[in-house]
Amino acid sequence: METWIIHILNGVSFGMLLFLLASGLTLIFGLMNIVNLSHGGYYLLGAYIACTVMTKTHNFLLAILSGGLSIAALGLFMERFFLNRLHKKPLAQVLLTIGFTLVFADASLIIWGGVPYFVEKPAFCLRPIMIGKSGFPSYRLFVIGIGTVVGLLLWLFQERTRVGTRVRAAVNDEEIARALGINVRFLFTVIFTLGAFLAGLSGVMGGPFYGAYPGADFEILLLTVVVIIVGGLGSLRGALVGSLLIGLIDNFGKVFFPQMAMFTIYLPMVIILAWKPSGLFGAEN
Amino acid sequence: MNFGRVFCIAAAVLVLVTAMLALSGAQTPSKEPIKIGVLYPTTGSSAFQGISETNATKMFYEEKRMQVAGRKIVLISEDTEAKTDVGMTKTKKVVELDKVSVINGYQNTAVGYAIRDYLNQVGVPALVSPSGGGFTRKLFSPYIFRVSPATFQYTYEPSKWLFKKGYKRAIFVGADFAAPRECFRGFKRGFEEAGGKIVQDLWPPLGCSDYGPYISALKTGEADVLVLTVWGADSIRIINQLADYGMKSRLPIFGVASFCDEGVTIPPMGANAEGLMSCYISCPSTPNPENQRFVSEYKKRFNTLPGHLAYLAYIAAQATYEAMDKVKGNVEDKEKFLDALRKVNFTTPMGAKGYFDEKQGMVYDLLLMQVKKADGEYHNFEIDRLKGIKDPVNIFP
Repeated sequence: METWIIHILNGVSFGMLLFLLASGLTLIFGLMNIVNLSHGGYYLLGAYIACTVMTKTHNFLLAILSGGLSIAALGLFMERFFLNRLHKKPLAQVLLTIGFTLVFADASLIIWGGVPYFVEKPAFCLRPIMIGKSGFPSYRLFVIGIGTVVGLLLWLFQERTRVGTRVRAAVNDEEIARALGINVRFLFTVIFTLGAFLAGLSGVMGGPFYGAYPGADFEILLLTVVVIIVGGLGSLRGALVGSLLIGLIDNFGKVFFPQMAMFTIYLPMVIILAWKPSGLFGAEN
Repeated sequence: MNFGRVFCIAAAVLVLVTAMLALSGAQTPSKEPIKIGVLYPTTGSSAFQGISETNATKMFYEEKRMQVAGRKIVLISEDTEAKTDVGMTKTKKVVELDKVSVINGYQNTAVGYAIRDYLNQVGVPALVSPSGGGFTRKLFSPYIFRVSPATFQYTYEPSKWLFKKGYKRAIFVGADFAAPRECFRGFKRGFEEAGGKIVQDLWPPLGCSDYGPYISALKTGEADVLVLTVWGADSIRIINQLADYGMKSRLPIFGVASFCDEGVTIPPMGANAEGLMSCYISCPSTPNPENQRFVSEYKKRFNTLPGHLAYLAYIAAQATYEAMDKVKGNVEDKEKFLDALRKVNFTTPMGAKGYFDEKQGMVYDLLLMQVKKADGEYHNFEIDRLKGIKDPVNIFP
């Protein structure tokens, strides 16, 4: 019985990490139709910055704030000065954002070197929680907690605030939204910055777990894209369901079908897309 | 047209051409510098290894004042990016454009195998450091000398050592690609021959982000030791995750090759590194004078301890230098130079004899190490040594 609980918690905690990664990308990709392939680079820089902050201050809250806010600032800069010129030009967006990822990767190599870094865990997460006779990492429970809080806040923002309503309007029909006096330009910048903040935050939260090293940026990007494709572009509910599904399937897949370990993440994507091409909760278009 | 002017110009050109011809003829080969290609992955996911290897190579030749037997040494450094196509392009560049006489490089096995045919065909000697055993087996070439110990070499005998230490039942966890699979074959055969039993083997994918499912499946009650063949960021992740699940205290852990690497994998493991056993070829804490000199010089220049791969690159340069010195710098006489490379016999910084076996793979003293806390930091300490271990090509063809 306790083995099952551990397996489920494993899957859910990995899924929650994926959700933190995916929520930022689905906001940007899905709501604004901007192909932001520098999402992986945002993760990496957020993780490296958190490492440095934790080494100097051992204060995890400070690490979260500095990681999240610095990447938000980076996102703001990129959107304001580069991406807003490429409205509705996906190929150019791909080139630009991949180019930025390569720049971030080289800059990280110069600043932090190539050795893998793992963010130090917060002090209250150092001992495992006992579930029966087995230990379970308390940091993973913390990830589940933070993921749930972030999910709730995002849902409230989208469904229950005026800003959220305006964003949905602007995405649905930009021209009419402008005609109604909604400042679409400003809204898009806000959303992009929020997405970048979430990416930075996921770097801080994923840092102790996944690590920061050359190559992690593209690995994370791949995982995140799989999740939002499965969940459906632009849907927050899709990002949550998709990430939990992938987390659980990946975990149980590795336990029961170890020979398929390479495919446990991609096989669900293929099956779900064959059944529902726009993802589980994606809009049909 | 002024005939006089034409005549003067023609005379000047003639003098110039003659002078150039005379000078180039007068330059005997031994006055030109020896060019050595240094090809390691200095960007990409192997960047930290490639940079340390390039640094260690440069350090060695600079210690010899960039010259051998009166001839200058020039290093031509290129980045292979740990990719086969890039490695091939850079190799062709240093051979055809820079005309290097010898190459020190190739840490990534796939790249090493990819350039084997080309180097064999153009006849440029290379001292390489991959972990795969191909160069002493089917991919043998008289021009390629493998400085690194290969998978079977660092698992077969050490597995018997592990059994003799009292660990009779083992769980084996390896990343799912060629090198760990070879390590498993080497380890299993040696361990079972000694009387041991492998109770479980697990194969997480290379670069696995979440070892949770594997850790939860470990049959800790049935085993005495956990043997790991995961490297780089994976080794840090698996050790930290084992500690997160409270598993690390349940089972002693033994890893091979660069699993516990000073300056690279040990610092991010923090306190979780304590007690980890490993088997490979270098240990900065070993107190012999030459090792201490090597370590302190490296630390002074690069602000970090030399890891295993930096040590391998240093040995590659050391072997190259020995051979160049033996032929008094005349590397153009290929037969003599190759012969000198085959016959190198020097003392490594770890105090072992450095020489190649008949398949041109280096014979090693394998160090058995354990991480212990010293002065508030965690470092490898030698607990035993297996001397003169060759690549067991006859047992694992």
